[in-house]
Amino acid sequence: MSIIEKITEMKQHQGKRDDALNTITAIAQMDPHAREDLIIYLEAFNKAQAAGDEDEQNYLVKAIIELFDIGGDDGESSDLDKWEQEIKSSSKGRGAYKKLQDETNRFFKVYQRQKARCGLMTIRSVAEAAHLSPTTIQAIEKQRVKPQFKTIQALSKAFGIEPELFIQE
Amino acid sequence: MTKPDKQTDAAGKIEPLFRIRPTRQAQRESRKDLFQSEDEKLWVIAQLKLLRHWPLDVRRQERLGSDLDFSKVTHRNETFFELRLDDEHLHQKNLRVFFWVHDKNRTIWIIHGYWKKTNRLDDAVKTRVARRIKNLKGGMQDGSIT
Repeated sequence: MSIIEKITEMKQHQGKRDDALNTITAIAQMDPHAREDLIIYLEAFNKAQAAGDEDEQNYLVKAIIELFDIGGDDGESSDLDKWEQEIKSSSKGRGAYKKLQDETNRFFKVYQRQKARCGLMTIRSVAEAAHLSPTTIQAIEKQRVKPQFKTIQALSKAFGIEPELFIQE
Repeated sequence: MTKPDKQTDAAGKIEPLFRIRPTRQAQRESRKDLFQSEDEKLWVIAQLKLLRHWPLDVRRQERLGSDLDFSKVTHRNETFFELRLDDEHLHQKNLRVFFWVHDKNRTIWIIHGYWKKTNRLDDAVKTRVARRIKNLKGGMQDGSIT
């Protein structure tokens, strides 16, 4: 049985013939690729329903709605800095930013001290000792970003310290 | 004289190669569904900033899946990357951020964010990302996205 037939049957059973017809019309108007995507989502939805996974079901419903949102509104978007500014403009955001900055400063203080203590003066030497890629170390240093915990763990190992030192100090 | 290693030796001089742009859909998701606090959002943004130095050489050597935890995904003729994030700043484990590298425009587009419970990447998620990239490309072609 095709999806269209299945939806019709289901909707008619519920006595909602108009809804069924609207749905069929919308599906018929979709491009063939969108129809294929819809089948994938519906199959995944059935699985999620069988498994009782509510979050997954909600995710898939949103994906299906997106398919019907013809054209979408994916026009202009801001870049990362504007997005950050937008968050920082609220009082909650300002507080969160300050907290993150404090954590980052604390991380870099320990990082620079440990680097010097271990004699690892270049990006490459830190990367090699921590088994990380030089680009990652470069990006962390250049952007002044406190990395993910697993990266902190790798750095701690290279410096011979406990990872908590980066966090508490 | 040997040519310096662009990524390491000249670290202090190299400017970010890419600009990062979340699509409006991804931004909307971040506001509505994805995050519970401003702390979380700002931490994720900070991690995404690292992508400005997108490791072209690392990618060529196929050394993905190490520190920044990337994997390359090809689905429905679209190639994109999955970035796995996990940290105490996040309210759930395993945030997946999908991004598409537009080399020509030197832009990395953040396409989708998703909390992942299992290691398997579902076809439905890949399909959603591939569809968004296709739409994004369409928007660029018809000039509605610049």
